[in-house]
Amino acid sequence: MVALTISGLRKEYSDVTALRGLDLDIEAGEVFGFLGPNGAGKSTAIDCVLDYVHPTAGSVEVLGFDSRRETRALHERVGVLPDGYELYDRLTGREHVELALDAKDAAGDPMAVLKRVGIADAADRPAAEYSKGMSQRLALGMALVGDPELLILDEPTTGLDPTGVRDLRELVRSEAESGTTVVFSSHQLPQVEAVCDRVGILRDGELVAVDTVDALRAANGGGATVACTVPNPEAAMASGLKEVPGVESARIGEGQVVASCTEPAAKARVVGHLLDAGVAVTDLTVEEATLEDLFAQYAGDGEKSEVTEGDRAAAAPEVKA
Amino acid sequence: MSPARRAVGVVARKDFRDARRSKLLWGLTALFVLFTGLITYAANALGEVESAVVALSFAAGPAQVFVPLAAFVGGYMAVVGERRTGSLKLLLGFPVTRGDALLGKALGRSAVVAVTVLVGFGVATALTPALFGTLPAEALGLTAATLLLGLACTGFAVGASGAVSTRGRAMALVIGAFVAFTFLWRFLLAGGYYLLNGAMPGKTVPAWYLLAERLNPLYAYADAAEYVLGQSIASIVTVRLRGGASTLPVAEQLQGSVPAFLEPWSAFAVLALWALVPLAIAARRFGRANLG
Repeated sequence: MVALTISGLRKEYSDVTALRGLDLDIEAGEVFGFLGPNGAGKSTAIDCVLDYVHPTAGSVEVLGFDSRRETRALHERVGVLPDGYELYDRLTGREHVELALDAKDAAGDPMAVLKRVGIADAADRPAAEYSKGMSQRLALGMALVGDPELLILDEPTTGLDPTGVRDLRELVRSEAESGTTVVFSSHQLPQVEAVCDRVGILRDGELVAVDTVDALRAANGGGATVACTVPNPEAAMASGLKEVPGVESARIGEGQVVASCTEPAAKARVVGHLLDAGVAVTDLTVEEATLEDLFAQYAGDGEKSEVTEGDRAAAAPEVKA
Repeated sequence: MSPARRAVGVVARKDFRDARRSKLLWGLTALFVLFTGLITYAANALGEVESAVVALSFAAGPAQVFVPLAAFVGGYMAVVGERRTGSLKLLLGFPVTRGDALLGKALGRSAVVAVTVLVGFGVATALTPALFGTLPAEALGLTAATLLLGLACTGFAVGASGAVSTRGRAMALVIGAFVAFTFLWRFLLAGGYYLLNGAMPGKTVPAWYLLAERLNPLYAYADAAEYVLGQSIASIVTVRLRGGASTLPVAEQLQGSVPAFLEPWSAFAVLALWALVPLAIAARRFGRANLG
C-alpha cells in the first residue's frame, strides 16, 4: 500500500522555482529520508504535503487523501514536526500536549507523552523557558499524539544534542516497527543513514536519486577507501596499485596512498599488494563510504555522470554536515 | 460534535488560555475598570448627576476608547504573530484548517475582550445601586451593546491579522483604524461635505451624512448605546462637528424624516458587519497564503 504519492509537484515563487516536478511514492511502513542541502526544496516539498504551501502544479495524496481538498482528514492521520516552528511561550509543556490531544481528539495521558520524549520533569514550566533541544522533544511528543499512521518530521535533529539524536533514532525505529510510515528531511546525513529504508536526494528542486542507502552506495562504487601510510607514496603508487582487482581508483595523499575499493575484499588485497611489493606500511585507516559521500556526489556542483571517484574524495570534505 | 466545530473550539480555548496570560491585556483591563469605576463614582460625588442611567451614559465614554484598544492590542497579532514565529505550523499540523484557525482565534480573542467589558462594566454596575439606590435595567442593554462593540473591534483586528503577512502591516492596519475611528472620521466627512456643498455641515444634515457617520463602529456604538439608554452617551471620540449635534437624537439632526436605514437597528447591523466582513476578507486571503 502506498502511504504518500507525490505527482508532478511544482512550486514557483515570484523569484525562484523551489520544486521542478517531483514524483515519488512512499510505501506504508517505510522510513523515508529526504536529503539535500539547505535550499534544495526539502521543506517546500513537505510544506506542500501538509498544505502549508499550495503547489503551482501537481498534487499530493496522503493515505488516500488529497492534500488540498481533504486537508482535515489528512491531518487526522498524520503527526507533524514542522521546521522553523516556535512553541507557545506562555503555555506549559503539559498544556502543549493537552492541546495536541484535544485537537486530534485523542485520549491519553499528557505525562506519558512527556516521559516518552524525556521532558516529564519540565511538564509545568512555560515553553519560553525550554532550551532548543527540549522544545524539539516537546514538538516531537506532540507529533506522536494520537498514534498517527504517518509521521512527518522536518529537520527533526535541529537543536538536539547527540543523546537527543540517538533518542530520536530509537523513537523512529520503534514507530516504524509498530507499522508507522515515517518521512523526514535532513541535511545531516550520518544521522539519517542508520534509520532510513530509502532516501531521496533533492538537488535544486529535483529528486536526483531515490533508492536504499545500500543500493545508492553500490551504484556509486560504494565500497570503502583504504589509506596506507608509507615512506614513499610515489613509489608505492608506481607499484601498480591501480591494477589491484577491486580497486577503482588510487591517488597520493599526504604521506599516504589512498585506494577506493568497490568490494570489501579489495581492502586486504591493497595491503597485501603493497607488502608484496616491499613497501613498508606503517599505518592504515579504512573509511566506509558514508551517505555523505554519496550525497556529495549527487548534490555537488557537477552532474552525476561526470563525477569520478577522485572528484568525490575531493568534494566530500567541503560538504557541511 | 463535527470536526470543524471541535477544531474551532480547540483554537478558541487555546487562544483564550494564551491571551489571558498577557500582562498588557490585564493592564488595559485594570485601566478600564479604574475609569468606569471612577467616572461612576465621580458622577455621583460631584452631585450633578441624579440618575443612574445618566451615570451609565458617562461610563460608556471610556468603553468607546478602551474596548477598541483592548480588542486591537489583543487581536492584531493573533494570526500573523503565529505565522511569523511558525507556531501556526504546529496548529495547522493538527486537524485544524485555516478557516478553523481564523474563526477560533476570533472567538478566543473576543472572549478575552468580553471579559474586559464584563469586568469593567461589572464594577460600574456594582457601584450603581450603592451610589444611586437603583440598578436600572438599561445597564444590561448597555453591556450587550458594548459586548457587540468588542466583537466588531476584535473581528476587525483578527481579520487584519489574518489578511496580511507581516506584523508591521497588521499593526499599521489597527493603528490606522484606531486613529480613523477615534479622530479622522469626522474631519474626513466634514471635508467631503464641504467639497460637495461648499459649506460645513450644520446641526442638521442629509440622511447619507448620518449613515456615513454611523459606518464608523464607534459612532454605531454611540447610536446603539443611545438607543438602549434613551440618552446620548458622554463621548470624547464621536463628537459630531456640528454645533452641539452630539447630544441630539437622530430625528433632530436630520433634514427631513428618518429613513429606514437610520433606525436604531442599523447601528447594531453596522457593528455586526465590522465583526464579520474583515474576517471574511481575511479567510479568503489567508486561505490562499503560502505559510512555508
